[in-house]
Amino acid sequence: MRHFPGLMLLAGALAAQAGELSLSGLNTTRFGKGTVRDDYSGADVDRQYVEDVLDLTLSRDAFRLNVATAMVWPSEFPDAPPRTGDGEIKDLDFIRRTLEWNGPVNVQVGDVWTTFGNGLALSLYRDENLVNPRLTGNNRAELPTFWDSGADGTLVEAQRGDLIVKALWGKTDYVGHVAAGNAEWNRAWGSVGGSLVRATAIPQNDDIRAGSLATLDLVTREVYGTARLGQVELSLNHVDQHQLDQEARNAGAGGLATYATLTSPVLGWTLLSEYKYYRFARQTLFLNAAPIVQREIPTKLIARSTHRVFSNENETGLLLDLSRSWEGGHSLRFSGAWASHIDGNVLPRLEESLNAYQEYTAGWLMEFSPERHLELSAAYTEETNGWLPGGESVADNDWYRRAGLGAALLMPAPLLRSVEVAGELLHKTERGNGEAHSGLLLWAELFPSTLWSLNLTADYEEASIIRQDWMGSGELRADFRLPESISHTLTVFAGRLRGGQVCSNGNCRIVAPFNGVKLSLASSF
Amino acid sequence: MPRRIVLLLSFLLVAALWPLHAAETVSFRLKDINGSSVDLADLRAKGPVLLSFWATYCEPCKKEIPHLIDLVKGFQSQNLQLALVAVDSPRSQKQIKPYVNSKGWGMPVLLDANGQTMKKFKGSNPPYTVLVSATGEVLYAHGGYKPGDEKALEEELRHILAPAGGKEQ
Repeated sequence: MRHFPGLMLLAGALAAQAGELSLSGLNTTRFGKGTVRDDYSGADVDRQYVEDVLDLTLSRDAFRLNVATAMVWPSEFPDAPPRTGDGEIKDLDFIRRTLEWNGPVNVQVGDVWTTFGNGLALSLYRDENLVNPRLTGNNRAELPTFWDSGADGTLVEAQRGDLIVKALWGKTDYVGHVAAGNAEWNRAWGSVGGSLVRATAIPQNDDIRAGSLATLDLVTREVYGTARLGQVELSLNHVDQHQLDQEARNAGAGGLATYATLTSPVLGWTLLSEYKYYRFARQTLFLNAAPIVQREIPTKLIARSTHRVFSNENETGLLLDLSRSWEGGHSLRFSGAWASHIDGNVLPRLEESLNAYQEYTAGWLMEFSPERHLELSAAYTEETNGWLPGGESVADNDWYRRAGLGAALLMPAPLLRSVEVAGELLHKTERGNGEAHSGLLLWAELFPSTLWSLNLTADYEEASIIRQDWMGSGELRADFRLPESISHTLTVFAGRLRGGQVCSNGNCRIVAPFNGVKLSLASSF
Repeated sequence: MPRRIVLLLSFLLVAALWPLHAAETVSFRLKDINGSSVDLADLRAKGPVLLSFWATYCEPCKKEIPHLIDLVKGFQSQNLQLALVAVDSPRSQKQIKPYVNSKGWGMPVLLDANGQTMKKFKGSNPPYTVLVSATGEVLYAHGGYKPGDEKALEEELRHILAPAGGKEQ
């Protein structure tokens, strides 16, 4: 609450405004009872949770006050609920409180977040809670984003003509003090910009959970630009990072990153090429976003264990993506991506000792009418995931090859407005434990009315070591208003789910593995 | 814990009974895929705006957008505009422009990294559709897309944007 006086001052100004006060909000309540499989022991662990996030916004003229609270009894993710400085789980937590004034300049005080450029130097995002599980690299365990990514501080944004200037200062949980500035000049031919970010650890601060950063005093400088000529667009981004502390500098902290993209028409197709060279300090900063040059969801099954890049990993990569659409609704898309760790190489080297990654995807969408289409997809990925260069023998590396095929058909159906049936096949081989997996995912989404839909999923996996494993689940989702000023979305899930991307009522999200019953009610007013 | 429950219920009760004299207004300024800065107020100056929050990884979104493009053509007399707002993460934003170019969509496509602006409109996942009046009020919001939703949306728009008898623009 170091910004409490500022908040009170702005709150007083908000109350003194002559305009009309309006209140809006979103409340999400979730309940679940069932089991979760422990990835390490393979045992089913009981889990029951009740949690609620209330997000309220009070507006009057140019002022907005946003407050969000989370209550957990306990959370679905017991390893990551809000905790006190002593490590005790808190059952009530203010996850966000921000006061905003949108006048000639935009001023935000409290929990603030922003992104500079492509996010290489600074990428803070809104504090989230409860609802954002992510699947980790090669396990199907959940990794919720239950951390405070934003800064507790002040953000000022101003625009004069083509020039946009941002300044942010405050404290983040993971780093300590952050002071950052960014200026960007946009013209019809392109844009240029620059950023400066200084991150300083606060010694002995309980909020700083990464204790190894006690000597951190890191400066990140960034320049970037985009040039456009007709349909051709080239963008370049370069960042360098160095420690002000001599001892830390000697220990190797610091680094640099380059990210470039080129978009261009080629013989009626659109070509996107991306290149990244990302070699930052091997310290987790949680202040920036590393560029990724792979598809985030090549297919649903592969996406359960897709290649992930974190902000503290060094990697160079290349992506080529070709796409084209024709009159009548048909479109084709092909992509290839290659990435590896950096060991003196500028381009990815597909060597096992460098944790090489390859990915090839193809997609064909045929739209016969607005109510009827067929979509086919294929993907192949290959990666090693083991020791870094100079480490142990590569023979100990994990090693994966995955090939997936998918098809989805949308069509009208008797008694239903329409139905979508889809399936995916996956074959995966692992060297680490000598396993070969085959997987089949079938799902159907029924759309009886505009108010509700039902998603049915059957999921089969056969592994040479584990066993044959069938699981099934259903999710019903309904939208309604009660009373007229409050809209609700009710979701009821029952069954066993391996986790991954789930689509229901035309809305897709990543969900964690679960076996049991879940209820969720999101009310917007 | 009972105190927390009372607190929660109190919040919900206040919210439900709150005299909503005016719908919430939300403002934003975002960059489009060509690097230009676009202010919602500038779009509103021409008439009501239908915002469609979508993402390159969101299959229902891609199915919905062609319907929205057709639908908006039927509301030209009300000056209804469509703006597509991509909520891809900064990591995948570069894939937006090639996709848009391959589709030949002819309307503003704005960049909303990680859906921060969508969350201001109380949306959590794409697709999320919001109708903003010329005066900045949020008149309608809907999450998800199922085949046939475009017809329900068309009816809503006819009701809301009706010159007489509907809600004020």
